[in-house]
Amino acid sequence: MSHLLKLEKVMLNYHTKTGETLALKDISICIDKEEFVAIVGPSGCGKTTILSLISGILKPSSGKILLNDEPVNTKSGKIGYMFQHDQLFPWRTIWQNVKLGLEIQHDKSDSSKEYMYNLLEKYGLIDFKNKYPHELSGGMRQRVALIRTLVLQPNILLLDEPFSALDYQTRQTVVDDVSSIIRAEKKTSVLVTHDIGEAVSMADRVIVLTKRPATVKAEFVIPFSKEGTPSKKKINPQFNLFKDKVWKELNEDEKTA
Amino acid sequence: MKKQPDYSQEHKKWLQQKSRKKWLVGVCQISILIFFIAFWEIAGQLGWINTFITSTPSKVLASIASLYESGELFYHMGITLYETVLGFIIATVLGTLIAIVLWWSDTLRRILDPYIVVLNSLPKIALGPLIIIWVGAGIQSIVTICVLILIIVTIISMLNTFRECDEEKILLMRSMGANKFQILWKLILPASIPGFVSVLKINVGMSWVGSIIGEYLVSSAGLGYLIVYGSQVFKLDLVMASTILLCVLASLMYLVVALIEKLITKHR
Repeated sequence: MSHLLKLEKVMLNYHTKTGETLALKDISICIDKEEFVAIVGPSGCGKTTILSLISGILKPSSGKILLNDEPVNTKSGKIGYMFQHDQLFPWRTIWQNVKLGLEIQHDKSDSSKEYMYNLLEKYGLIDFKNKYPHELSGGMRQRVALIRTLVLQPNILLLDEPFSALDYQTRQTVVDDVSSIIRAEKKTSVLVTHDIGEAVSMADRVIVLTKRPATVKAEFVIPFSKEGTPSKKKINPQFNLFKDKVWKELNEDEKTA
Repeated sequence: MKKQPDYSQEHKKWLQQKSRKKWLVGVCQISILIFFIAFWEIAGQLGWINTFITSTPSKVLASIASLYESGELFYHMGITLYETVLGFIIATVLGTLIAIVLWWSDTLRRILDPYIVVLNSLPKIALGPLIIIWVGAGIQSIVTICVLILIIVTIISMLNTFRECDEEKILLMRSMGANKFQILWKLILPASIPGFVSVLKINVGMSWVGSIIGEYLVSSAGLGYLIVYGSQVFKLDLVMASTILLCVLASLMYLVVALIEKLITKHR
């Protein structure tokens, strides 16, 4: 079976004035359609770099990154990006924020506008369409940010620690929210996080990276990934088992550091 | 009368204190002005100060009145205002455009960086004599001096504002397939409006410095001209009157900019 996204022996050097650093040594990852993959690793191991590579903003020093068997590039706009902060534009209303991608791609079609309207309606944001971001709660803003990327109907969603800026209270709700939207819209996603619980409770598969220069250290398929929301999965008896497994892999690496 | 909602006794007291304080501040502000003018007038009348050097409020008023009667008042005010507003607009627009070009091309920015630093530290007024020779004595050289004083600061602050834009927002736009022009138009420029407003506020003050200094160097009309002329023939009433008119104009222009600020920063 051909995979949706393929990273083949990806290597990346960072160049600075003082020298070059090998950030990624040898990364090979395959991701299937509608799969939710979480990447965890020691801090500074280059998790975010992998997302930049997938989005086409960075080019690998060697190796290949294929989306639908074609090399990735930023022009396609088929990649959705979510960041730690919602990055909504404060001078635009919710509607205008969500429309940003369509404006960039000069898509003025009624069908796209309708799709956008339906998404906002489905996820309870339509009443806020004329509000400005500062009038919404942090959790709602992150939901708007997700819908903003969904409007472009991306092949793949890149989530760069999108929950780490939220306070503990809202965090679990937003995790459930985002997770259910992604599952409902059948989106392929790559989540980068340092929170093992978040990774195990959200993903179908967790990939553990080594410290820099990063390679894939271990991979865990989460057998209960389809059984409900992340907060429900957290009380699954197997949850702690997998959390421990991932933690051990990560910790082993820290010790040798 | 607006109906007062049912506040607690404590809240009413707090509101009362607030409004009393506001009233007190206002009264003090006006009192200082009245006291100053009254003292100035009385001290002059009673001979405590030499009115030949200090003039008095009544003489200043008379001087303004005579300027008005001879029809010169609005002529001189108009000329200075014209020079200032023209210098302000040219410097702000041109400076912002140059900042956009320098944002666009990082290489160009690096190449020009030392020149901008040198031009920024140079006292622009030193170029006055050169400018008069190059562009000719008259309003054009005053406007040029005004523009020179403002433009470098405008370029530097606008460029800094552009470059302070959140990297992740740029990344977001690029991931959506935005080109550089779209990033500029939909992100950098709207995000820089607060920075632009503070540049406007700095420039509105500096533009008066530019036009008055320009008039000191070369002019045959305007408030700066009246000040220089008045001091040369020892008509200190005229000097004082022109200075006060200048205060009024500068405050009015600042109010206009404050109004613009209110209009364009509604949703921030």
